[in-house]
Amino acid sequence: MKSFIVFALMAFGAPGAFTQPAPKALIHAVHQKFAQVKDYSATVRMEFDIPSVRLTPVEGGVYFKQPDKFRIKTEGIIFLPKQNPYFTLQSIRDTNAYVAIFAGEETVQSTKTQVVNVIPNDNAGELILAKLWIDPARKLILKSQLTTKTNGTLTVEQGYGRLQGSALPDWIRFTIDVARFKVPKSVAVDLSASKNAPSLPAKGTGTIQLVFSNYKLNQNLSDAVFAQGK
Amino acid sequence: MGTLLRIELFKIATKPRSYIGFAAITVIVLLIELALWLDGRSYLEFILQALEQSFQVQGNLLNGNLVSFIILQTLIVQMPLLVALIAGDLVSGEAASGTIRLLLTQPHSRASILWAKYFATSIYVFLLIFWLGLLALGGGFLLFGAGDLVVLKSDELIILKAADTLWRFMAAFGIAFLSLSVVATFSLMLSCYTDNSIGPIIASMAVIILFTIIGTLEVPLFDRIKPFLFTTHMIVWRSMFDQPLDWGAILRSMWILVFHIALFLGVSFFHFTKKDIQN
Amino acid sequence: MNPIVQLQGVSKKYGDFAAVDGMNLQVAKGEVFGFLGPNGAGKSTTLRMILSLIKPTTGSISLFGLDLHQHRNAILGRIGCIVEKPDFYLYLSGLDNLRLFGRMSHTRQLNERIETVLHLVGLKGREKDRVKTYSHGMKQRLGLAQALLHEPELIILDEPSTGLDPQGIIELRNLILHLKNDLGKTVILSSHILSEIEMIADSMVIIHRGKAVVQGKVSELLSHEDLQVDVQVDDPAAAETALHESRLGHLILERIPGALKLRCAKSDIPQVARLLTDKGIAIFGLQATRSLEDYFLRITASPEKADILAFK
Repeated sequence: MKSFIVFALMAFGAPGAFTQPAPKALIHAVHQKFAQVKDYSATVRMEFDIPSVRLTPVEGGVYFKQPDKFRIKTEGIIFLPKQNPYFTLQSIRDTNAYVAIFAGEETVQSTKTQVVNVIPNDNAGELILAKLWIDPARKLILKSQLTTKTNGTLTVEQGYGRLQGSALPDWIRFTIDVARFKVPKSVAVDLSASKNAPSLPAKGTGTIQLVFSNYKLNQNLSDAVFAQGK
Repeated sequence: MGTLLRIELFKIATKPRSYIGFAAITVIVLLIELALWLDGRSYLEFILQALEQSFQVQGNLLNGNLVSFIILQTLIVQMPLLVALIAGDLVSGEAASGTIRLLLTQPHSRASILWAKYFATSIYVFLLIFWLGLLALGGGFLLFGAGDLVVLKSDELIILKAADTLWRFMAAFGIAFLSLSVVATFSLMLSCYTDNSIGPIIASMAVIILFTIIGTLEVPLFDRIKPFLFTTHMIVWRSMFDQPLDWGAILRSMWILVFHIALFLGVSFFHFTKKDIQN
Repeated sequence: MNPIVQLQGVSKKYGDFAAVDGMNLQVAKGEVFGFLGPNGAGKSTTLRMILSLIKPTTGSISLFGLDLHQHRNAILGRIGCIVEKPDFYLYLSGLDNLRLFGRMSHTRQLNERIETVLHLVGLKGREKDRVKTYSHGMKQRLGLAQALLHEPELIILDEPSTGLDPQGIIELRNLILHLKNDLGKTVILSSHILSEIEMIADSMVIIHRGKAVVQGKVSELLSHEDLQVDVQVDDPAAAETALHESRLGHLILERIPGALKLRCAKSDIPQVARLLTDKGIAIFGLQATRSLEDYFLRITASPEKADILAFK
């Protein structure tokens, strides 16, 4: 199956694949740039647009430590993607663990990007396929589309500003497939619900946007920061 | 009026029946809190299973606010019955026991006696709601802690910030008071028409159950009737937990509830002040 | 007379049925006034109209010179009553019931008054028990205590002796006389027992089918000067002739088999007896009843058959 995907992508998906720089080198450069940041903390504002869920923006603190520790701390309830924002970068850290195929060029955020498909060699991981939109000039991933085994398709778009040199985005927007929320009236004890309410589609897409500020880099964050609980 | 009100409150306070409501609320609230303490997470997992396929939900969902909300929406269905138990007996109970003869030969107008009964019942209803709020919020926060409120609807989740909930609960309790006052005045009205203590209580309960069933059944014919049933507007307290708040709909329902209170009180006064005491 | 209670043309109709029909009534201050009538005659309805429990269809009621409709509360503050039976809040003690109604009737120095009335009706010592543990007699006493609590000028007692034992009835009678004689109260008393009214009432009214058929002073209405005497003799025709010959024929009401019915004064009876004996007529029996009592017994025994006009 995996061989078929690789073949299909090479044969039909990326006519210019053989004329571009090696995609793995580009990915490696992207990763190296991000690897300079050992840890960081920042203030984050989260905005949600999820079908059937009304949640006002939430502010909190965000903490990251290489290679894969990530934590958002807020006072209240938040909805987060199942994968953390650095799942893509973590997945492409080991360049021997996947096949990377150039798949053309597209414009994202008014920037010309190179599209690279990444197919893991190992079937055991969560990732089935990743499609990355990389700004070759700045060595930054502007957009990624991840197909996972258990959590469907997740699209992550990132915008950069002052800290683009460290590959730290000003904002990240996740777009996620969401199944329609529906529980029996009796379970919700919802007497006010009316059948006249407009029926919602069975599926939809939800977005979660994280806006970062007050980045503090390389503070030697303790692992305790990432422990569950308060 | 002050003397009459104190006397009516004294009668309610010394009547064993008055404590059924408080006991029922205490037992039900504690049972719900115990059940949620033991099994609340499974309940939430069941509700959130569709969303948890796509998201991880972070934070203390099972908190005092959610527990109070669940208690409120479970008990608000039963509370009219507890109110009818007292209000339905106000006048007819006096008639059935014969004390109405003594009561109405005292140097007070019938209207002031009925006002005293109405205000005493209102205070009873207020205390019943206050007790519910105290047990639900107090017990809920003590056992489950604070946190954002997840408002459960059959096709929607609304998450309200913890700091944004207390005033909504207070407003919801206020609207619940208005709703239960409709039940109280309805029972009082029936109570004025009979000399049988149980009749108005049963009749009130029957009407509330019937209207609630009509309101719940999704039959096109009933859709036309629903806006005219007071029970339709009694659940408007829930709208206080909407985001954004539909103040227009809330105020409209509150006015309709006030109209019902005025109507039932008007009929009660009209009949009670003219009624011949024959038993 | 300066009436304390006055009813003028008072009627109460339920559809076509008149429970009270054109009642005119006056009760003088300081007297015990008896309402007499069989069950269903309209006594209770009349008393309830006086207490504003029932609104008259027509007519006017005034008490203490004030119109009841306009001065209801002021009038009720001057009345104490037991209507039908003394019902109280069973879940409260007698004391709590008295406190409650004492406050409602604006009783001054309530605790002292409660002590006084409890002693007066003989309930002291049981006042803290719940009323549901009281016998009917005790409830009746509590009813009296409540009626007297705020020192009313007029006391209305509807069938107050119902359920009382003989000793209780005597005590009640003495209490009513005490209220009248020592405290100057006016008492309206309803009963379906003539002797009860006769013993304590100064004035009375007999109510039948919603109408006041007889009204006046008890001493006049139940006088021994107006008796109906059944004289059982061996020869009624001879007895009738003998009375006519002796110019006593005007006493004869009618001749019936085995007896003559006479209407006469108590003092006429020895003369009649002597005359008949002198004429050789054997007297088997003499039975004297007062005319009003006879009439009342008839309407009580068979109210449907009794004709109001029969007495008149």
